Amino acid sequence: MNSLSTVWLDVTDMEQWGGHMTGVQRVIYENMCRLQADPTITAKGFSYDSYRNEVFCVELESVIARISEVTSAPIGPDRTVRLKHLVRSVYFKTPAAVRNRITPRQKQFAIKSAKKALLTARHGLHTVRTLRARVAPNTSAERIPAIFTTDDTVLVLGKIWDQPALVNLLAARKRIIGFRYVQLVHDAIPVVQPQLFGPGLFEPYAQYLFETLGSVDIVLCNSKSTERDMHKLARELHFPKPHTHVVELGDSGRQDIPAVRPSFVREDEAFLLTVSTIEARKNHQLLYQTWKLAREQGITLPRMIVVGSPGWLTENMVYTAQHDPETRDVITFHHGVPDTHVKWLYEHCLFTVYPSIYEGWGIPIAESLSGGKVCIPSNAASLPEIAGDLLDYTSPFDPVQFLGLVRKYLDPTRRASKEREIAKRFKPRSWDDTYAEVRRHLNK
Amino acid sequence: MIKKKIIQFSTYPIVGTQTGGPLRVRAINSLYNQYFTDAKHVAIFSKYHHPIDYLPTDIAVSGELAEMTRTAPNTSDYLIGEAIASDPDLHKKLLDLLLEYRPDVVEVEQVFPYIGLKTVLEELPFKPKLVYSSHNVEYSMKNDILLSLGHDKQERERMVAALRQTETELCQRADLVAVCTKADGESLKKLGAKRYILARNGVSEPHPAEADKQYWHAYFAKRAIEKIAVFMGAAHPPNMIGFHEMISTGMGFLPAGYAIVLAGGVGVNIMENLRPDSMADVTCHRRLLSVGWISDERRDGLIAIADTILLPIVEGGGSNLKTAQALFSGRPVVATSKALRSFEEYQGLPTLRIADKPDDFRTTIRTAMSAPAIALTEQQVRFTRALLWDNCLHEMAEAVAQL
Repeated sequence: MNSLSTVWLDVTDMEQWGGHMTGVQRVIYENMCRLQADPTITAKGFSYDSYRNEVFCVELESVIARISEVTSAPIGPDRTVRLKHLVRSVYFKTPAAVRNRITPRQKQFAIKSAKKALLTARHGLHTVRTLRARVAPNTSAERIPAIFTTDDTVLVLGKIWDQPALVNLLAARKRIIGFRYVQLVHDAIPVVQPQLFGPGLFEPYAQYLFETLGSVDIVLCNSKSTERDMHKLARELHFPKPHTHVVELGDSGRQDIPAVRPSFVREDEAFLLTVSTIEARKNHQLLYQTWKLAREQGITLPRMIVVGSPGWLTENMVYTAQHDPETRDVITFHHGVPDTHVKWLYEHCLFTVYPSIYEGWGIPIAESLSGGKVCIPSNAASLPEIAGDLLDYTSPFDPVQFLGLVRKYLDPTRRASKEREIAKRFKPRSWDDTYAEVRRHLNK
Repeated sequence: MIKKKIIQFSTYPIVGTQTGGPLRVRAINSLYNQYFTDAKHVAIFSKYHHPIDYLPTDIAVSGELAEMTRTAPNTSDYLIGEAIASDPDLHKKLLDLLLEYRPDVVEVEQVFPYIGLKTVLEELPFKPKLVYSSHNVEYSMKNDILLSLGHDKQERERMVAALRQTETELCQRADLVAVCTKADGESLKKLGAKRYILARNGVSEPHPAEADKQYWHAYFAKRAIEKIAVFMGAAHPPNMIGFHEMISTGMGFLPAGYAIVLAGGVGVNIMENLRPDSMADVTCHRRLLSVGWISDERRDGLIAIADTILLPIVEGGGSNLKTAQALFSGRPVVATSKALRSFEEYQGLPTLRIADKPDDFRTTIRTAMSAPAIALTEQQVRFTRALLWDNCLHEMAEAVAQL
């Protein structure tokens, strides 16, 4: 790389950061910090303004500082828990004479009002953050257009498919200017498995992948599976063979948070865990079928705790599982679970499952293994790449096989043996390694 | 000028903007009018397919078979032939016309009118000479088309057998058979043709206006398109089949700024049949566009500015009218060997690239579009002038004169 050349990182996704980092934002953030600190290159940021259809310079230091300001704040128990403690302490500091005069009805009213106030405050905070993050930078008169030059490298690690006009803009500029264009593809699932998404995503995603194959010099893929998909699409669309490289993403999430037991699980309860958005692709359907099959065969399975935001194409399945007398208490769904609770759940579950139908990578497997817990994933797409022969895999469409594996690891001896093997053999991937790989391709 | 009255029958009118078959008939009619005292053309046609462009002397079919042509564009020619055979009014109208006109020569353009016309001719009190002006080996072509469209097997076999029978009769009875290619001539000889005259397809000399060229330059500049490869044709199944087989909608082989431009019914048909669940189909718009049906003037303008002209022909008989047009234009051409049927002597033109495998065809398109412009020498330009209609049809007119 020419010493005068610059690496431009697309940080458009970070402008939408609202306090909690998504997987894609994590990828950008971790690489952004390392890129910024890399003395061997000049790193600059840019973000896309859809109103003006233009890319503008962004100071990476300020983005990093803005995120650090919030994330480095001391983290105690979850806010809800802290608020509960506060209310309780106020209540108990109140003189007993006054306390005793409060009727149960008044107490209930006070709790309800406090909850409402908390919710309103949360919404307010979220709105303020969103406005500050999205609107303010876009309306600033001081924004300077990002001017790429021939020797520069443009690096896109985010959700560029959300911005079809940016895809077109970068392709057009690349054609005129001829800069080096490096892009990370997280997956091609909406195109290769369109049935797993609702209507409306296939077309823009197809356009994004077409332009990626048509304009990008180096396509970074987060797994061999994604790389295979990109080559297959390139063949189908008659593109020349694309230059692709696999860059494995770091596993480490936030380690600096405490583990807090959520109220929906008992301290001594034995349970299984799965963490992911509740969408058709994640295949919660298999859990329902397996738990039903077990019941039919007279096998008692522990409770399956499903943690994740509500997604798409799962309403009927969730309704069925929640209203079936045989499953409603043994498959339970939990949304909006804070990181502190998720951490506790990972630490205290018997093991985790991840029977997804298709993935670009599969972070929950790595998270489970990083915590020393066994995971039963499906054998689909990228999932076997994460731990290779360390784990047993199930077909995502075979409840009999899946039930067999669940029963295998309910046996404490076999589970403990596998946990020892995980501790010995599983090496979490670091973000430093990820950056080193990305950096290698910026160099060519 | 030779004193002869000639009447041509076809299943389509020849006025207005036209595609292959009608253009050939119009060219023949125009040359006959230079050679003979009177040459008349009558279309027996379906108004569903030609609602505007026809002459008052043309005859529209009516009744149940005419209704059927509405939903069967690929068999409407056959149905029109059946209508002549089965509709007494139409039969009488044609008989009266021939009795009144008393032609020396009756020329049947493609086999279809003859399905019903043969009984009309038998009833005439005089015996005009009969010319079969073939465009393809029709029964075999119809079989290929209906097969590719997944037409009902029984119905297809019945229709193809009837066509073969009619084409055999026509070949045997005709005093002269004119063909587009030698291969067609040999096939028709096997059906009983006594002899044949080669009258391959040609081209009218284009005169692209500056305004039309400017129109297209502006049209493509507005869409950020720098280089274009043009495929022009009717919504005739072999055109769509050729496109899908040799090019297809996966447009990744073209860089940004390059586009394939479809003109005529072929583009309209391809675009209307794109599948919303196919990645190739939903993304093809980035490098593929259809400009719909265009006037002759716009067509000449488009050809004049094309960086490449495409001839992805994989099936069908006859010689391709588009081939003559492309070779004559002097623009770079990417063609299959089949597209060069009966134009084999032009293989050495420096503007022509031949590719018969889909991957090669696509790569060649890209190469041709990127290559610097090639100018034909004066000698090569003279050589291409043999492609003009008058030169292609001259021998046919001479042979008709001698009947």
